[in-house]
Amino acid sequence: MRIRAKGKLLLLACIFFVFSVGFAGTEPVKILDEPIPLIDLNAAIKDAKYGQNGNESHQDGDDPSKASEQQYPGKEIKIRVRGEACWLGENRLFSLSPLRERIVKSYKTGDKVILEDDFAESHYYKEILAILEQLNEEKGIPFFEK
Amino acid sequence: MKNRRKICIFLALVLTYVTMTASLPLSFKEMALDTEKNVVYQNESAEVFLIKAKASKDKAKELYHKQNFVIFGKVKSRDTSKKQFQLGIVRDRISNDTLTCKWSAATVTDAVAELRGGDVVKVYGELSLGALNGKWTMSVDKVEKTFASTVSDTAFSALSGRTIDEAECETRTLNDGKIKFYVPKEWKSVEKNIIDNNLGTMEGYQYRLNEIDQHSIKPESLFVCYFSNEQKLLRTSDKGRTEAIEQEIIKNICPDKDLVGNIKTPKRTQKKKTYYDAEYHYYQEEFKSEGGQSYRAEFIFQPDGTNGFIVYLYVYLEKDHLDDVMIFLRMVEP
Repeated sequence: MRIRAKGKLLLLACIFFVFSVGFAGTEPVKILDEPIPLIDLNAAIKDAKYGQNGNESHQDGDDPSKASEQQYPGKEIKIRVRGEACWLGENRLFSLSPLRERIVKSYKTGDKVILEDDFAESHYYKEILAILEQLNEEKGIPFFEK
Repeated sequence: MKNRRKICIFLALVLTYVTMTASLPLSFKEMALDTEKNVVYQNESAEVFLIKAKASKDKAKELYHKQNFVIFGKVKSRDTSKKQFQLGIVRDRISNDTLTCKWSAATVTDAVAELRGGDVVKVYGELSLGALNGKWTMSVDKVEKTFASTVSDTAFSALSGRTIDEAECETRTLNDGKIKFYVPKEWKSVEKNIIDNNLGTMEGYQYRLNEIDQHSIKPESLFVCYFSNEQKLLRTSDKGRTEAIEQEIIKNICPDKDLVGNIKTPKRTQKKKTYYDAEYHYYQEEFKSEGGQSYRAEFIFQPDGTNGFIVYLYVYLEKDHLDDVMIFLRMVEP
C-alpha cells in the first residue's frame, strides 16, 4: 500500500513538473517595439469638449443693437464661436469652408445672422466675421454680434 | 426531510444553471458588431431571383439558401390567415412564377395589412429552399412599399432601410492589394490613412464617422487595418498563436491596467463564422483617453491564414452609424 501511495505521489510530481516546464517554455508573444502604438487612439480620437453638440442655451443680455435687429422679423441664424470651435445652430462645423454656403442656403428675406462670441479665439472669430461682412456686402445678409 | 433536502439541492442546481445561462449571452447582447443581431441584406429583384432559381437548383442553392436578401417585386396575392403572400416579378408579362413569403412578427402583419395586390415592395428576410418540397420561401423580417423601379444587385441594406451600393463605392486595398474593401461615398471626406497621418504604425484607415455632415462632436470611429505577422511580430515563429497575437495587439492599442498597474489580458467574447462565411474573433474593451473620457472599443480579428489579420476596431460613445459599419463589414473581400 505504501509503495502504491508513493508511486502515485511520484506520478503527480512528474505531471506537475512536465506542466510547469511546458508553461515556462512558452514565451509570450511580442510585437516589435515602435515609438508609437499600432493605432495611437489618443491621437486619432479627439474628446468632445464643449458639451453636447453645442446646444447649450444662452440668455440674451441687454443689447444696444436690439432695436435695429427688430427690423428683421424673420428667423435667427445663430453662429456661436468658442475657442477654435464654431456651431451653426446646433451643428458644429469642423471647418469654416461650408459656413458661407450654409448661411446662403438657410437665409430668406427678413432673417438675420447672430454671431455670438462665447470666449472665442480672436483670430478664429475674426475669420468668421470676415465671412459675414463679405456676405453682408455681396448679398445684403444682415448680421449682429453678441 | 430527505426529500426536502433533495428538492433544495435540485432547486439550487436549477438556479445556478439559470444564472449561468442568463449571464452568458449578456455579453453578446452588448456587442454592437454582432452580425446576427444586425443583419445586412443583399439586394436582388424578384425577376433575377426567380429566373436563377428556375435555371439551376444547385447554383441557386449556393447563392441564396439561408442567405439574407431584400427582394424587390410585386405582391400577387396574400393570405393573412396563413401569414403568407406571393411575390412576383414587377414586369409580370415575363413570368407568373412567384416566391412564397411567410412571416410571424406582428410588425409584418401590420405592414402586410396595408398592402394591395399589385403593390411594388421590398421584402427583407432569409431565403431557404425546402428540403422536401424543393420550393423557395422567404422568412420575412420586414416589408415596405417602394416607388423605385429597379434595384441594384450590388447594393446592401440594413433593416432600417439604409442602403449602400458597392458599385458606387471607392475601393481600397490592404496587404499589397490582397484585401479589398469598399468605402461608401459619404465616408470619403472623413477618411484618414493611419501611417500617413501619424496615427499609428499599422497599415490601414480611420473613418471618423461622427464628422460625416458634421453629425456630432462625439467621437465615433471605425479603423480598418492589416496586421502582418511577418512585419510586426518580434519572432515570426509565433505566427500560429492566433489568440495570443490578438491579445498583444489589443494590449498595444488599449493598455487596460488593473489596480496594481499590470496590463490586463483581454478575453475573447466570441468566435464565429458569420452567415457570409467570414471568421470573426470578437473582443470588447474600453479605451480611456488622456482627457479621461471612456469609450467602448470593439475589436474584430479576421485571420488571414497565418499571414496576419484584418483588424477592425469600432470606437464610440454612441453608435449612430452602426448600419453603415455593418454594411461596410459585409462588403470586405479578404
